[in-house]
Amino acid sequence: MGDAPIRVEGLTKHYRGRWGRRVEALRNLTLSVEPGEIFGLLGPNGSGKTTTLKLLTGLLRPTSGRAWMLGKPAGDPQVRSRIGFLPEESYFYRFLTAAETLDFFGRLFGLGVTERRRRADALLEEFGLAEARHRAVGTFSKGMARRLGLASTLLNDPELVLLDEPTSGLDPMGTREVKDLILRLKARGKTVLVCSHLLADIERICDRIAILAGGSLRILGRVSDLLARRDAVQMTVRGLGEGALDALRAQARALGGEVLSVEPPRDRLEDLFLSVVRGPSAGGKSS
Amino acid sequence: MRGFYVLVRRELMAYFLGPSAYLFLAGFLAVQGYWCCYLLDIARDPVRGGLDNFFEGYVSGFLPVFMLLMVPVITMRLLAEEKRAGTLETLATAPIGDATIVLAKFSSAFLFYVFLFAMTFSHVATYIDHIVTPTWKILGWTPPYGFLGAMLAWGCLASAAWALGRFSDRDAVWGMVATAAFAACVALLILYVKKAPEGMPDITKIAAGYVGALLLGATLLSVGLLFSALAQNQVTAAILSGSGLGVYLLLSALAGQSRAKIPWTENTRWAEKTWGDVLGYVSMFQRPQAFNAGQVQLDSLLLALSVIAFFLFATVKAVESRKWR
Ligand SMILES: Nc1ncnc2c1ncn2[C@@H]1O[C@H](COP(=O)(O)OP(=O)(O)O)[C@@H](O)[C@H]1O
Ligand SMILES: [Mg+2]
Repeated sequence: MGDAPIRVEGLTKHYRGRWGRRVEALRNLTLSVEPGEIFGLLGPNGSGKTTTLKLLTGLLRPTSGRAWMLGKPAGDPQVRSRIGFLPEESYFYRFLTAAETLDFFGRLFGLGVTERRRRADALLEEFGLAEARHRAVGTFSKGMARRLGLASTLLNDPELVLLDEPTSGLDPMGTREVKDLILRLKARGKTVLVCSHLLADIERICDRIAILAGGSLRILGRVSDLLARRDAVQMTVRGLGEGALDALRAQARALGGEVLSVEPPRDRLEDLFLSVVRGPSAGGKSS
Repeated sequence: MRGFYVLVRRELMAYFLGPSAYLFLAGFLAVQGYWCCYLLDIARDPVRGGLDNFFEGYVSGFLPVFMLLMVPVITMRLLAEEKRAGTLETLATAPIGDATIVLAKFSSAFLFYVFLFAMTFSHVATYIDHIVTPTWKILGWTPPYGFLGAMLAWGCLASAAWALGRFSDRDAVWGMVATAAFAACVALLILYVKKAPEGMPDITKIAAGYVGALLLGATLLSVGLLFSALAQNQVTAAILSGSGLGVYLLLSALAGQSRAKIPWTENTRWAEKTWGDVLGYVSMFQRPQAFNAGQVQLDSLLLALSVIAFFLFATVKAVESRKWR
């Protein structure tokens, strides 16, 4: 206890909808994220991922349950200086330029002039905004704004990083960069909690995942454990004709195996995800 | 409080980087200048005139109408626009509390208001130039005080705009230049008024008038800020605070008018009071006139401060309520 950078106990959030209707966005979520790991929070649209992150960062108050970040109750303003949070959508002051925006946040985080400049320059370079540094943020494309959002998330060199759909709006190159970035953060000993629907990426980088559906936790565990099927192997072969495949099948049977499937390779996580999410009572719920 | 300073700075930049502040200022000075000329004519009239009348009319006479127009415009953006644009959420992820955000918003609006009012020093200087025969000369030469006052006021404007205009780490220097220019402007006025011969109004009266005007401004700005926190967008915020202040102004106008007795007070010490008296107590608009009489009254001060505290508290709660959706 106390060690886990993120600890969530029985977290529940009901939104007050129109006409007194309540939306049950998150139901009794309990989990913890260990130091130095990359934790993936998955789930279909409307399953409560963003709600979870907003509860963690104190943008929302829970209906019941509690959450701690870095040992402090969620929403503690002081803890925010040690956390990097990329919201689902990044909003900036339209009339400030990219450089001024980072400078503004650097000031809020209490960084000195030289430190502010150094980090802003490095981050603008890293996220491919060096050219656009003196352009007003209001003129940025969605992807550029996302890149600026990532840059401002890392500005305070946070020990804990929360990313809500970090690749949304990014081109394939940007998506790749984000993946590399998350791995680099881990290598530097940071803890990362990432929400994403890009399962292939999550599969490769996350240590553990949780899958939410309809506001409740469906599955939680190490990616390797969840995806391992002890009695089956998958062989990915290239350049075999139809005849050769038949011979292979016969060979497998001759050796006492049972051929379960022969198909082009797929993301294994995608299969898991679909089977978990399509289980009973999947999808958004309101009551 | 580090976050506070950063936020105030950004807010003032938002006022001054766009064209709106300058249009606003030009409009304000034009109307205020016209009002000043009108009062000058009265002041020259030996029967109706007199310096006390001028200052009473100048600082506070025009104020209610002015506030009704200005406060909604100054405050409407503050929180409503940040809510609409989503930047309030961005701020909420930085290490600053909601109270700091609200306080910074209020302080910037107030500073902008003070800035507008400081511009009226140029009119006061013009007045002195016109009405009082100056005997305070420099090497036998009478400086054109009205002109100097106007130049100093505009100098303040220019240097403040420059200081705020760009992110630069020398801006502390420009801030000091602006402050120095402002102080020089005030010092010149005071020096002149002290040196001036007959007919000059009591300097403490002018000062008290300004204090009253600033207090009234601060109070109404805090009301406008609350409406900005409650409204979904700036137009709604402006309409809400405009009509809210309008009703308040109307009630204040009724102060002292209504002779109706308060029914349930027969045996209390309130028995002699009328509804008009009650309105008089809560009317902020009557207060600057009282200040003009030359004293900063404690009850007015306390009334203003507690109203401000209440509305700022309510604004913080309104901002926090977003978390309870
Ligand atoms: N402000 C809100 N008011 C009412 N309902 C909301 C609000 N925000 C989200 N919801 C509902 O809560 C559920 C979870 O939303 P969210 O956490 O954004 O999902 P995700 O990020 O996983 O796509 C959805 O059913 C959504 O409609
Ligand atoms: Mg989401």
